[in-house]
Amino acid sequence: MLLIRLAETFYRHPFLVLGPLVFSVVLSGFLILLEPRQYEAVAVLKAARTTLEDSQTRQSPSDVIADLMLADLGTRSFPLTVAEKSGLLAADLPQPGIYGVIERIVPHAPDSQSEHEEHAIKAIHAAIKVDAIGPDTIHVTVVTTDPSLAAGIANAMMHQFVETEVGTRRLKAQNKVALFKDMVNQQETALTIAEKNLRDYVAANPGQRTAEDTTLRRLQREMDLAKSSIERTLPLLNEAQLRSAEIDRPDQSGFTVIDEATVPYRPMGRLKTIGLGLGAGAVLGLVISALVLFVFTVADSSVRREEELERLLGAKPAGVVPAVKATPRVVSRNGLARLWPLSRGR
Amino acid sequence: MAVKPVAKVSVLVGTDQDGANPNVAAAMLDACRAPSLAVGGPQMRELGVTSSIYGEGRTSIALALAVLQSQDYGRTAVLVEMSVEAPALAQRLHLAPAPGLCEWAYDEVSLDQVMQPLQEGVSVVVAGNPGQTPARAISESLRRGLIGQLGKRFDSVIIDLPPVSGIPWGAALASEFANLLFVVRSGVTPASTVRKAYAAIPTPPKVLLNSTSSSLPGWLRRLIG
Repeated sequence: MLLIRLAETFYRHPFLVLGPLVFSVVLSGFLILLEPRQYEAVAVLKAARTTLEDSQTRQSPSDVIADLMLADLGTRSFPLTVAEKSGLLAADLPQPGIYGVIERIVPHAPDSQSEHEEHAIKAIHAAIKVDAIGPDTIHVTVVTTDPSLAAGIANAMMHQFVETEVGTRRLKAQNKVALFKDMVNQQETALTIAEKNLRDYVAANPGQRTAEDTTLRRLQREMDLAKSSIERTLPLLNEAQLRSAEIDRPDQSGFTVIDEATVPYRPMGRLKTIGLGLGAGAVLGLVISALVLFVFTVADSSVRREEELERLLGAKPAGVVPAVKATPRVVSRNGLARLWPLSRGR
Repeated sequence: MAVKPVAKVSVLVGTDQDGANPNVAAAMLDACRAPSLAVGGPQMRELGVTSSIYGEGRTSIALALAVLQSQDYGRTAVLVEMSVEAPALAQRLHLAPAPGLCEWAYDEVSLDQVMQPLQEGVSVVVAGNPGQTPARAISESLRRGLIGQLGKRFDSVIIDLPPVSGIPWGAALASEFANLLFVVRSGVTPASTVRKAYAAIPTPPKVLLNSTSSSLPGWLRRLIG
């Protein structure tokens, strides 16, 4: 019964029910057309296996670097630096979506510095996509409304990442060198003390033999231990110094920029956006239309069918008179009622 | 409580060339044949036609039933407009608005003077001018035996009663008639109003569903039954 009433309501008010659907689709199409065209720029970075930490050998360099890039983007300072270097911070890039459209229609008050930075970070998050392509290649894709900015952001992102990553590793290597240097220094001090103790003891006890004197044996063992410690640590220090020196060499960072992003010369195709936008509009419109249909049906408490009247009053109607359309019959004051179309007498 | 009719589909759809004779829709007369039989057909002597509220097609149904009495059964019929609070029959049928029932009730005119012929075998008694007290005019007409007197002159008397809801004495007046037809206009009157008005009438009347129409296309009606 509800189905019939819903269908009747629909056919009774087709424009009212379909209106929201049409309106929603048209509005979404209009908003899509108001959206500025988007430009896509791609920068390609290659990461060598040497860029991996010892614990990351089971993963591909591209996966690790892509994760690191995304982690860096999650911070505040990294996207802000990218925004600054790319010129995004200085640019007045319109916000994407409906907010951007509203902003163009009703300009709002200028942002404070922190708000401006927040917008820039959001724009960076919205614009950048990082993909691991193959085992060692990473694509940094940037989509914005400004072609120069798109290329600028992609390149700034890539270089900033390499710079940050190399800087971090340099710091780690330097810390390692400093640590080993400290260790060597301590071990040399310990050796010096051990040698002095041994010399002092031998000078104080000239007649003692090693085999019989346990103190002498202990002092000699301490000196040997100190020497061996230094011998073990020195290669590590040398290796750390070597690694540190390698990192400082520009061609030894492990990162290679395969393709710098170039300024795109034509905007992206809109077919997908239009399809998605119209689809979303249609879905929203359908929901609203269904709601309107339901509300109209529920709100209409009138009796429409014989069965409904019978159920309402508990009595079967004596008759049903359908809504008539004009096939008029002339009722004459003087004569019999006859079938008489209106047009016939004219 | 009055509602605006959703569609002015009436028994009357026009007049002839001189504007005098009202035209009755053939489809309306055809549609009313079955209800006419249900309320007594050729044996019907007296019938009150009421509804829940104004605008349910009560007058149109009453008129069609009166015309059918003459046309189908060759009987004489009189249509009495007792809806004196909102008289409309005179205007719709291009008849003189007075004298009518009220004038006869106050003994200002004779019965012959209030009967206006509509067509052969069908006469009409319009409401007339009720003045300040329409309820009194109705009670006076009942007290003076209007229906009985008309019953002696005509084979059938059809009374266009006021609606049950909204008129204080609507239900009381309807209860005066043993043979009562309760008109419900499809898609207009709220179900609660219909139920309330129906319950206010002591003797359950016969019910007529008026102006039914389905907006569904034929194929869909067949599909969903």
